[in-house]
Amino acid sequence: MRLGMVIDLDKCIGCRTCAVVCKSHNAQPPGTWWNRVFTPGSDYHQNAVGEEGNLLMTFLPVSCQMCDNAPCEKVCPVGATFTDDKGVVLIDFERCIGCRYCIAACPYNVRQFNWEDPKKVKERAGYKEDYQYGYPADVRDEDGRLVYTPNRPVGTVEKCTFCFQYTSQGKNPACVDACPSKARIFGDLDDPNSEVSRLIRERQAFRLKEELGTNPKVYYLPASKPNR
Amino acid sequence: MTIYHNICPADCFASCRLLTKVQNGRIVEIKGDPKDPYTGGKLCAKGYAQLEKVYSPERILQPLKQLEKGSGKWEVISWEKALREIATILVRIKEEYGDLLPVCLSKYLGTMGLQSKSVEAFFHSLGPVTTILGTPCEATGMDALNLNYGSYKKPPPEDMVNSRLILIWGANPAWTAIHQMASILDAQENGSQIVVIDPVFTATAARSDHYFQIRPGTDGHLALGIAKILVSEDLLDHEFLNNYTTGWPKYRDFLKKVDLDEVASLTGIPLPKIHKLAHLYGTAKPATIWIGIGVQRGLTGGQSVRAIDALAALTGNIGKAGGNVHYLSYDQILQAGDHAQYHTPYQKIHPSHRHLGLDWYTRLDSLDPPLKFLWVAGRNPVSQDPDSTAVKEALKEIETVVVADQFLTSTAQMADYFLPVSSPFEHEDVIISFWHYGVGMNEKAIPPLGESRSDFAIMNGLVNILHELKPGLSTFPSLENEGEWLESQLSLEAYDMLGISDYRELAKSYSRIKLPSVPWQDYQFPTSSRKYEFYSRTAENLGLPPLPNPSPQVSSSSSYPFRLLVVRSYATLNSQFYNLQLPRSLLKKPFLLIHPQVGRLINLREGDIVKIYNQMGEIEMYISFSLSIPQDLVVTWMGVVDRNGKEINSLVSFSETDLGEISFGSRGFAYNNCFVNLTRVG
Repeated sequence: MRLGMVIDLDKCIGCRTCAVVCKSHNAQPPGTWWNRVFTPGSDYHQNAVGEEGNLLMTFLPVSCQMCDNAPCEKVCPVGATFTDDKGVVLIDFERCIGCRYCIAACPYNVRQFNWEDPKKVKERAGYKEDYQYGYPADVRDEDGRLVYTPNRPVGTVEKCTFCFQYTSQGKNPACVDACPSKARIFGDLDDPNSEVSRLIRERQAFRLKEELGTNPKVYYLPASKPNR
Repeated sequence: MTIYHNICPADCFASCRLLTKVQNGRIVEIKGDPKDPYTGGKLCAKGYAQLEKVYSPERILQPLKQLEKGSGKWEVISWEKALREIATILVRIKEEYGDLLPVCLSKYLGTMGLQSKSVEAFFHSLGPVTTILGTPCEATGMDALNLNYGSYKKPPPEDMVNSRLILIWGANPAWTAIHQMASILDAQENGSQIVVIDPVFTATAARSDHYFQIRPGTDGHLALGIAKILVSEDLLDHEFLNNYTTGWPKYRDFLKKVDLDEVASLTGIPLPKIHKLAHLYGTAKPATIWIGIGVQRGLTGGQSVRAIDALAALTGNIGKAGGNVHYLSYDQILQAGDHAQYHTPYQKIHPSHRHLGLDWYTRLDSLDPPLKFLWVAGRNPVSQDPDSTAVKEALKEIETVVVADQFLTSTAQMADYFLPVSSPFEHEDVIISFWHYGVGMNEKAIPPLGESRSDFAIMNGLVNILHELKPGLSTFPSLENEGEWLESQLSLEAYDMLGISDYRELAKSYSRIKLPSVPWQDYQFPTSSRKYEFYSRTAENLGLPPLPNPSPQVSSSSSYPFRLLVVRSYATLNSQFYNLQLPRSLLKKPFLLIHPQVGRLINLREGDIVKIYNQMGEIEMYISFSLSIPQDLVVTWMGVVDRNGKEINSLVSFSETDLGEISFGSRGFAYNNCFVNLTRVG
C-alpha cells in the first residue's frame, strides 16, 4: 500500500478551510502552517493574474508532497525523517536534532522549525482555561517512533504527516474530510481500482517539480475550464 | 467524552450543524455534522475557528464598567451591581420623562439565535421605547423584489442544479457561501453554464464559464441593455408577459429609449459582450439569477435589482424549476415568534414607539425626547455602519450605553457597561436558516465560561431587579431559563412541519421549514394588480420611478478618483472573527488591493504603506497589487481596521440607497458610494 492524495484544481475554490482544519487538528502553534493554499503568480492570496481581458486565478494547496524519493530523508544525519511501509514520510520527534538540513533540502518549503517550545507559544497566546487544541495524545508508529505529539519539542522540525493519527486507523486526513469542494481525494496508489489511481490515469495529473525526480505521492489535476 | 449537537449562529447562508466534542468540561473539537443535508458535514475556515473563538484570549468573561467612554479605563463590576445600576437608570428615565421613549435598542444579526430575541422582547415589554428600523444588509433589494412580485420568495438552494444557466450577479459564493459553490460546480460539471457579473474578478468569477467585469453601480443599466436586446431579438416569453405581468407595453416603450452604446460606456462592458450575455441568458432554459447583496449597495441599488429581476420575467423564467431569482427569503421566519420578525418585512410596527431609521446617529440633536439610553447587542455599528466617527460621537452623546458581546469590539469600546455574553456552545438556542430553511439547535455543550451569560439570562436578571425596583415597568414574562423561552419561539405549524413535539428534538432532527420547492408556480403575485409588475403603482404612489429606472451614477472626481469597495472576506464575517489569530493570520496585514497600474502611477510597491483619504478622514493600510480589480477601484475587507486601529468605515460617508422603507421602514446604506484618493506614506 502506498498512500497518496489527488487534489483537483478544478474544484479548489481557495477558501483555505484545509489550512485551518489542518492547523487545528495537528495543534500547530501560532505562525506554523503545515498546509497552505497559494494563488500562483500573486503574492497575495486570491488576486487574479494574467492580463486584462484574459485574467486567471487558480489556487495551489501545498503541504508535504510525500516524495517516494524524499530529499529531506536523504540528508537527515540521524534517520529522524523516514518513510513508513505505506509510503508516508514522517519525523521521529525523539530523534530529530534540529540541524534543519531537511528544511534546506526540501524543494517544496513545507518543513517548519520549532524555534520555541510550542507549548510556550500557545501559553503566550493566552487561551482561556489553558485551552489546548488539536489531537491531544502522542502517537507512535509500530516501531515505537514518536510521529505525532501535540506539542513538538523545541528545536525539532515538523510537517504534514497525512494525519498519521487518523490515517493509521484507516480514516482520512482532516483536510480531505473538510474540503467543502471535495477537491481532495485520498487513497492507495498501489490499488489500480482506487479513486486516486483512476483519477491519475484519466485526468492529466501532474506533480510539483517533477523534474527534480522527487517522485511525490501528491498529485494535482490541472485546472481546465476555459475562463480560468 | 460527550458529543453535543450545535449549529453555527453566524449571519451566513449555511447555518452549519456542528458536532462538539467535550472532554473534562472543555471543548476539544468542533466539526461539521455529516448528517447536515445542506453542508454534508463540511465547514469553512471560520467554522473551524469557532473553537478558538470560545477560548480566545480576547474574550471578556466579567461585566465591566468604563469610567469614561473610549478611555479604556475599565473596572470589573459584579453582575448584581451592573444590572442594578442599569435598572436604576431605566427607572430614573421613566420617572423623569413619564415613559421610556429615551430608551433604545440597537440589535442585529451578530447571532441568528432565537434565544437572543429575548433582548427585543425585553425592550418591547417596556411600553413605548425608541426602535431603530431598517437593516444594513439586504433591505434595498428586498424592497425591489417586493415591488416586482408583491412579496419575497426564492427557490431553495438545491434548485440551482436544475438550472441550465446560473447567472451570479454581484455575489462571491467561493468566499461567502462555499457550500453553494460546491453545488454550482456540480451543476457546471453536468453541463450548466456559470456566468458571473462582478466588478472584481473573484474566486467565483475564476470558476465561471463567462465573466463580465462591470463598473460598480451600473448593474441596472446593464440589465436594461440586456432587456433591450432580449426584446429586439424576441427572446421573450410572450405567454407569461401577456397573461401574468402588468406594465409590459410601457416597459417595452421605455426600453426603446435605452441607448446600447451608452450602456456599454457606462458599464465598461463592450457592446458585443453585452449581446453575448443577453444571448446566454435569453436562450438557456431554465436559467436562474442569483442576485448578491453587492448590487443593492449603490445609490440606485433598488432600481438595479428591479431591472435585473425583470429579466426573469421577460424570459419567462419565473415559476419554473431551475428558474426564478435567488435572493433571500423571510417566509421561514413566519414560523418563529414575533420577536424573530424584528428587522424583517414581517415585523410588527408598534404605533406607540418612536421609530428611527438607520440614520438615527446622524440626527440625535433633533430628537425630543433625547436618547438617554442605548443597549447594543449582536451588533457592531462603529465598525459596520457608515461613518464610524459619527457613530462613536453619537455613542458618546448618549448618557448610558450598554454593550452585550463576547469581545471588546470597536462599539464596545464606546460603552459605559460591557456585559459578557456566552458563546453558542454555552447555552441552548434555536436557529432557522434564511437560505435553506433548516432548523437546528445549540445544545449546551459546556457551562458559560467565566461569568458570561446568555442574552436571555442577562435580560432575565435585569427584569428581576426591575420588578423589585419598580413593579410593572416591564411585562417581560417570568421564566426560569432559556429553555422556557425557546419553547415559545417556534409556531405550532413549525413543530408539525419539523415533525417534532419539543424543540430539544431539533438536536437530532434535520428537517426544514417547508416552503414551495418552486415559488410562483401558480403565478399568483400579491401586488395590487395581482400580476408581476414592470410598472409599479406602489412605487409611483411613493414618488419612486414606477418602471425600473436607475438614474445616472455618481462617479469619481479628480480629488477622489478611486471607488472604495469594502467586501466580506473569506476568512472573516463582517467584523466577526477578525480578532482571532487563525483567520487574521490568513489575511496577514490590513491590505488595500489596488491595480498595479495605479501603483506605478503613484510610485507604490507591493507592501508599501499608503494613506487612503477623502473628505471623511484618512487611514493607513498596506498595498497589494491585484489584477482582479479595475483601475478606478480599490478593495478591502469588511470589519478591517487600519494599522493604527482605525475602522475602514470611517471613510464611508452616510448615504442612503433608493429603497428599503416599504419592507423595513428605512432605506439601506449606499456603502459603495465611497470615493477616496491614495498617497504613499514615508
